Amino acid sequence: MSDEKKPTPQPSSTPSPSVKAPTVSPQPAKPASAKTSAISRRAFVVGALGASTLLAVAAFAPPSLPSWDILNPLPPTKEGPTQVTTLNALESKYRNAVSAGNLYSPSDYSEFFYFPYPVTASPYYKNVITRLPGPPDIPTQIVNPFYASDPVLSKVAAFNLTCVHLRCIVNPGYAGNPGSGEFRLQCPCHGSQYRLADAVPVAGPAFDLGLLPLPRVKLSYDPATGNITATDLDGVAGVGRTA
Amino acid sequence: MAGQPSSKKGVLDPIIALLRWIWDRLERTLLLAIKLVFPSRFISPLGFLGMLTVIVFLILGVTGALLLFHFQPIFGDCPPAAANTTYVPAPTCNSAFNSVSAINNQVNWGFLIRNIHYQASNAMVLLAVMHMFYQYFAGRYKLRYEILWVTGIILGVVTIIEAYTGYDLIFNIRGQLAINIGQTLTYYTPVLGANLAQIIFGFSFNDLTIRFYAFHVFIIPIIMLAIMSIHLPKNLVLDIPSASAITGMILILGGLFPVEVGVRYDPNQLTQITFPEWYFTSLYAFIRTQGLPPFIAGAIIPGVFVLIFTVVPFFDRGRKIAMIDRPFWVALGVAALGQIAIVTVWGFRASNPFQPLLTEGQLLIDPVLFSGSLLIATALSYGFVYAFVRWRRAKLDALRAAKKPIPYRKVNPYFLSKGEVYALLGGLLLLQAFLDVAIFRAFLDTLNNFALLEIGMVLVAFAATVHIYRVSVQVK
Repeated sequence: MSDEKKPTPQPSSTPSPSVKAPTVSPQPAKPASAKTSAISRRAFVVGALGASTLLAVAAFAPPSLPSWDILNPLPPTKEGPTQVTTLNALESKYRNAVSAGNLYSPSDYSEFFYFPYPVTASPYYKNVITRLPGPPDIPTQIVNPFYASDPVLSKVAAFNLTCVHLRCIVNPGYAGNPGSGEFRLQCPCHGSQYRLADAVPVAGPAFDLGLLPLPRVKLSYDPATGNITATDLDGVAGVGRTA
Repeated sequence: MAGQPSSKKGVLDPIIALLRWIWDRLERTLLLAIKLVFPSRFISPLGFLGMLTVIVFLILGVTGALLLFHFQPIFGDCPPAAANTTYVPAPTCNSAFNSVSAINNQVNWGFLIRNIHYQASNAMVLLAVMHMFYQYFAGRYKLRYEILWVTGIILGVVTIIEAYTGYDLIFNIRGQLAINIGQTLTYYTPVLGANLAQIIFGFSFNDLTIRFYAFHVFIIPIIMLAIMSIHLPKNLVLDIPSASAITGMILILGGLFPVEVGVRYDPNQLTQITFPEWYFTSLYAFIRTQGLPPFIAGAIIPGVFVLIFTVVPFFDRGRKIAMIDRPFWVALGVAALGQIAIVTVWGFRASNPFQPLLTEGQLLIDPVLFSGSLLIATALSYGFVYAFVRWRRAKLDALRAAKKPIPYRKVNPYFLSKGEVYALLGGLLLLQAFLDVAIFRAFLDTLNNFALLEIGMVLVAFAATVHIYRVSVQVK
């Protein structure tokens, strides 16, 4: 179809030599000028176009402030050190649970708190703090390895509760045999189990896949007031503790 | 003909002139470039499953637009209850769910619209998959159909993503569990994972709701329309009876099985668990299989499955499209269908169906049993179909070699008499009139799902009427 149309303009342009004659005369001069300049006009335009495209793209992508940051959400401000509970409160809860015979359901003597972001932000920042069982209720004291030398905090454990398998919120219920001396956190969704003392996966998919332990809430204890304060979250909720 | 119009001036003449004027101008637009074909006789609806998918997409667009007026894309604030009080969910908590619940229970016609939207979403996924497999078995991916095929596969995947963002927006337990899984899979993506998860899911659940809202109502539909503009063929077959019947069936299904709003998700309550939507249980089965990392189970395996189907036209280079000439590809398609069926059933399976799902070990799938059943089913279906097609082929070749006629089954159509046609059409019209009255009665009595069922029946009756009409016109 295009072949049919091409011949029609050609005859119309050829029979007008009077118009064509002036245009022909500068043509011999053109190759001469092209030879003298280093680059042709076309190459210059293409080069300018390419360079300006690169510059335009570069303007949007300085590595310090990538422009795709427009897509990123605005995270709420992270809370600083927050007083979570007091040692006395934890201790009395623990005593009550033991006297009621609920030693093997740690949820009865645990407390929950949202840190470092409130529940408004996301449920993934739900944490638990527990008084770890010890003698005379069980033969040996369960020790939090991160504060092994601290007389108070060695008996306290605090972890983020977002399961690293598929992000369900872990229940701090019991998941072992009563009398076994084992205390675990269990995820209700697919049954991942974490040791209560250090939140390392010991059963279920999180264990099978060799996933990371739950993020740890860093604690500090003030002997004067008995306050236990959460200072930081070690790890990423739903992903795990890297340190 | 030439003499008559001058003597008779109809009342409708100016309107006809206006319509003709508009039609002439429309020829300059893209609209008339698409040729709509209204088939005058019955042809198998399998051939235009794609068109039915488009119609369901339009239904989803209309009902979705109506739902926009009432849905609130906010998760809200869920403050924990004060100590020593029984927990009462805060009214500010989970506004998204509350608004869906209000649409379902309070908004006028809201129940109907939401049900149609839900059933149509299921129908769209199902129709798209059926369309794909029909075209696959018909060999409609070669002979310059390659681009249609590849865009179709992409469109199918995008459709499922659209359905996913939709059912997460309800923010019931099921939606929230799907969000958890989706976010984990995105996080486990190598290199880009953490950034991607933050961009898609946001930081908080409020971010997530508004982001998924944007995806569900604007971004993904626009992408779908863009892909559709490449995927739709130039000649569209619009079979009005089939379109009306499928719409009617969607409504009837909605009336018979009205969808629940589900259990409200509240971060202050203990986790509960349900199965995902049926088009995701296949993925869920892989995710639950013991020892399979989430990213491999939820992204790599389905990705490979989709990829195999995407590249089929570049490996099946033969010029023959009949099923009997493609034993390998037909057997592959049947094996894939068998795999989908088996994995979907596995996804719905709990170890002990009489125990609650939260009981320990309920949702764990034994990898040996799982992959074993998958392998056996695949091998059996593949081997059987391959052997069958080869056997049929050999039989036909033998007939051809012996120069015998190839037998085929002839169907004798049954033609209705004139009286029967009138009786049927009249009966259908009466039925529609009766149903119209019944719909309003049902609606006034708040028998919502009954009203939905009856609207569906009206559409099916309309489809039957149009079908009988065109058959009778054709037969004379």
